[in-house]
Amino acid sequence: MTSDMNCERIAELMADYLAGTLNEGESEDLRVVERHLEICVQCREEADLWRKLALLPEAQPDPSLRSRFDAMLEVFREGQREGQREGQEGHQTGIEPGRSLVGRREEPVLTVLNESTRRAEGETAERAIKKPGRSMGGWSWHRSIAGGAWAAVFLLVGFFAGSSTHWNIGNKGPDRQQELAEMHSELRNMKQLVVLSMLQNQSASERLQGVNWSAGQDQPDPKVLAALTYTLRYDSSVDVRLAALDALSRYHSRPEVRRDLMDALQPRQSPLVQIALIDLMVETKDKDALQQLRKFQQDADLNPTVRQRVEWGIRQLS
Amino acid sequence: MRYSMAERAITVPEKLMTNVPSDEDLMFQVRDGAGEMLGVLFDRYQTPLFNFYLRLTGDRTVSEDLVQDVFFRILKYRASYRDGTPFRPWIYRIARNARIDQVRGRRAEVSWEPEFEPAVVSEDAVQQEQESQLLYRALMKMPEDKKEVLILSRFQGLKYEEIARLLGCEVNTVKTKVHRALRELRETVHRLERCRPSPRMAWKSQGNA
Repeated sequence: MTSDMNCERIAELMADYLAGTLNEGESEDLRVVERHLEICVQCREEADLWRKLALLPEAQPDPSLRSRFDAMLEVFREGQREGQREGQEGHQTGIEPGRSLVGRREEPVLTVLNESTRRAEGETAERAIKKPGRSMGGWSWHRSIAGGAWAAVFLLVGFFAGSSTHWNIGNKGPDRQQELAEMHSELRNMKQLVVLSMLQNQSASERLQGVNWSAGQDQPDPKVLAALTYTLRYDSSVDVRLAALDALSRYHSRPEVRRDLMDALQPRQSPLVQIALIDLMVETKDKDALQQLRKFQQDADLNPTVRQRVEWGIRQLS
Repeated sequence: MRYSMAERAITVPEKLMTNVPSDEDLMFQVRDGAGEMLGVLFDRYQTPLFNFYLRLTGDRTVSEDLVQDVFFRILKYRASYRDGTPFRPWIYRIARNARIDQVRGRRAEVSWEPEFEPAVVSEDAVQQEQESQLLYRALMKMPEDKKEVLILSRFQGLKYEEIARLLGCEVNTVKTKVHRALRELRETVHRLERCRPSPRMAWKSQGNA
C-alpha cells in the first residue's frame, strides 16, 4: 500500500487531529495518526502548515468601515423611530419596528446609505493620496507607469509654463506656437495615459484616484470616456462605480456619454448605482431616458426601492 | 510528534461569553427591534469577517464592502433569525451568500478576467517573517472554493459540523476537503519556494527600495 493511499485513509482522522478533537477517549485513533505522521513526510508537513497558519497576522479593517456601519445603523434607527412615531399616531399601526429598511421607508435609507458610501469614497481617495503605499497594490507595473507618467506630466507642465512666459514676453514666431501646440497635445496624451493606467490598477483606491483625476479634463479622450464607462459598468467596487458615474455626468452634454449612461442602467447593477443613474436622468430631464426607464421597469426582479424610484422618474419625465 | 492544537482560532465572542451577552442574545435583541445592539456584534465580527474575506479574495476594498453588506443583510433579514440558531454559523452563511452573490454578479459581466487569483500581496500580511509571507502568498494562489474550508476551520473557529451545514455536505466531506486543501497548500508552498525569488517579488523589493 502506498503512502498516498494511507494518507487518504486517515484524511478524516487527520482533520480531527488537527482540530484537536481526537481526545483521550479515542486514543487509538490518536495513535494511528501519530504513527502515520512519524513515517509520512507529506502529512507531517501538512500538520506543520496547519500550525503555521495560526501565525499569519490578522489584518485590521480601515476605521472608515466602522463609520460606514454607524451611518447605516443611524439611518436604520431613524427609520425605526419614525415607524414608532407613526404607529403611535395611528397612521401606520401594525408596522413591524424597523421595517423601514426593507419596506416603505427604504428609499431614504438607500439615499443616505448612498451618501455615506460617497463619504467613504472620499475618504478612500484621501487615504490613497496620503498613504500611497497602504493600498493592496504594493508595487505594480501600473504604479510604475503611473509614477513615470506623473513625473513626465510635471516636467511638461513646468516646461510648458516656462515656455508660455517666454512666449508672452514677445517671441511669437509660428515655430514657437507649433511647439507649444505639440507640447500641449503631448501633455494631454500623458495625462490620459496616467488616467488609463490608474483605471486598470488592482487597488480600488488607485482606480478611484484615476476616476477623480479624469474629471479634471476639459476635453476627455474617447479612450478615457470608454474606460470610465467600463468602470461604471464593471468595476468590482461600488464606490469606484459611483465615482465613475459622477465623472461621466460632467460630460453629459455629449450624446455618446448620454447613451452610455443610459445603457449602464442594467438589472445587475448595484441598487445604489441604479438609483444614482435614475436621479441623473431625471435631473438632466433627458427625454430619451423615458423609454429606457420604461424598459428597465419591466424587469421582474427589480429591487423594490429601485422600482419606486423608476416609477417616480417616469412620472417626472412624462 | 503532536502539536498543541490550543492555537485553534479563538474568536472574541468565546472570550467574552462569560460575562457579556452572547451573540445569540444580542441578535435576539436586534431582531426584536433593538437595532443599536448590532453595533456590539459589529465590534465582535468586523475583524474576523474582514479577514475571512481578505483571505478569500486578497482585496481589502472588496473585503470591506462585503463586511458592510453582511451587516446590511443582517438588518434586512433579522426577522428570519430563529430561536436556537447558533449565531456564528448563521452570520457566516450570510457572509458566504454575500460573496456568492457578488461573484455571480461579476461573472455575468466580466467573463474574460481570471477571477480571484489576487497576484498582489496585502501589505498587512507582508511581515518581516519570510515564512508567513510565503504561506500567505500560497494561500492567495489557491482557488476560493478549495481554501474556504481551511479558512473557516482554521481562522474563523467553525466546527466541521457547522461547516458541513454551511456547505450543505457531509461532515466527512468537510474533513476530506480540509485534508486536500492542506495538501494543495503544501504543494503551492513548495512551488513558490522553488521559483523564489520570483520576478514579481524581486521587482517589488526594488520598487520599495
